[in-house]
Amino acid sequence: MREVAVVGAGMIPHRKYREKSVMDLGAEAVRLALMDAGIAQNKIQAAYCGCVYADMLLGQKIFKQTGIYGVPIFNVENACSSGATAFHEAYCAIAEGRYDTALVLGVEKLTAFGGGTIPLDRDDVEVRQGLVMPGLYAMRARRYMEEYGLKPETLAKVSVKSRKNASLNPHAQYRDPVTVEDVLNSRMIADPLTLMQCCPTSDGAAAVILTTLEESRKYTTEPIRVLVSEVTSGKYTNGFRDMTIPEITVRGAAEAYKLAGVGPEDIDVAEVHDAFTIAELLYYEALQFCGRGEAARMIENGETEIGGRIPVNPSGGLLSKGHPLGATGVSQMVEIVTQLRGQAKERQVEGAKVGLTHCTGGGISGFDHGACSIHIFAR
Amino acid sequence: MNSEHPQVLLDERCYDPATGKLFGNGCRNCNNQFFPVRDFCPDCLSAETMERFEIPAKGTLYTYTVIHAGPASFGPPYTVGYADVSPQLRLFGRVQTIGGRTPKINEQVAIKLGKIGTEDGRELWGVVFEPAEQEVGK
Repeated sequence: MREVAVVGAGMIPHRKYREKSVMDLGAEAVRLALMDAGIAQNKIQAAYCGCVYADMLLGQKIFKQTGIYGVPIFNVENACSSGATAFHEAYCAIAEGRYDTALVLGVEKLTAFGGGTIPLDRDDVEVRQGLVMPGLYAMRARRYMEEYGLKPETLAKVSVKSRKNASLNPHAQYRDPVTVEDVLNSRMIADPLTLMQCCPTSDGAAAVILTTLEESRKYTTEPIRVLVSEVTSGKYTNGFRDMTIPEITVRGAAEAYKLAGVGPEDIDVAEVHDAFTIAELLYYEALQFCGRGEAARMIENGETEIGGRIPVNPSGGLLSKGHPLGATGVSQMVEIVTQLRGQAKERQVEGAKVGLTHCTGGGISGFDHGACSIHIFAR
Repeated sequence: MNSEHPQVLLDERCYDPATGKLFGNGCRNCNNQFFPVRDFCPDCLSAETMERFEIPAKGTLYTYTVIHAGPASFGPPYTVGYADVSPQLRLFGRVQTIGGRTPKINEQVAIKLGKIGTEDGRELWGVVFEPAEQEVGK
């Protein structure tokens, strides 16, 4: 296996781009990544496009606008892990020697659906009977509150931190700071989750360029190495499941740490899948940033703030930076690359050397989640 | 289909329209249970070993939420939850409390087929959980 590095990264601010096509959003992110790397299009040997609600051949339609064609193009769907899964495929292809350079794009235009909760699988027995994504996370929250005495005010602090960080990130969708009261007084979506505890309807795109570590020196003096690229799927059961433990992330994280040769104590900064406030808390525990039942303490003590013991979601995360599903995995990587390069300005995590991205998702019955991906990067 | 009859949002193998009973199935060799009913066992891949059984009338409410932002046909706000009927089987359903009482995690619920919504004047039916000891007005 060859070592792989990121040599270019670009993203567009996540917003509601009602007047733009998904092709325009994707093409702009690809352009930014190519320019960031200073790489010519004809050096890209393969291109990968992650998107959830895509029409056929979305990648081809986007990449042609940026002068990338006549090479293998792969269109990837894996729910909220689509972009990260596209990255995984590119990573494996380079590590195994199939290509020396590849481009990965994540893109999504959720305003195409008008707003509200995202459309789920209409054949799913739970969805048919009225389950929506906020409802699923709300049921996790309810059970966690019952078992660990978690308070609504503590949940709300996740949103407060998220907005505070997003206020420092020009790429974030919601940048006005909020208070615990603002969060709790916003409209109820699925009890106990209020509107400000749910990720917004977002359009966005992000792209990165990968090469072998050897090749990377041609493009940058500061390649960001990929220590591990982990993708797994949920375990299927129609029976009991402990909803306070996101099994897929627990297992994925353990595998990722083992393969990377680093542990949770080595992570300087992390972007995790905070689609809802409760999710961020569950993932503190699943990623081993704290023990079981200790997530509330972490947010209460500011341990995950920028400047804290292990800063989580300095970008503002899905809650405030926005969650354009297919783009999210790559967008998290752009943030970590920016942090590890020391270019994150006001939201810079000082001295960050090792960063982690985590995204998971897919609300289908019988699974904790459909897919989960964890990546660890180092400078 | 007659529009005056309710539309049941479940596979027709999962209920008896005459009695309102709910059914799952499982593989007699692999000790698994499924709802909705499956064509074959995902473990041994056999179709012949699958046996249908009646869903127990009682379960334990594992968790719940009140959904305020859901499809209009379900008349939000509405309460949903998961109930465990055996270690191998957890069902999703509508929690019907009397007088707006808040459900309690770990309480016993009766499990039945019932109305969960209305679409174009037609009743929608699905899995319903009724807490066993309703305290009206609380």
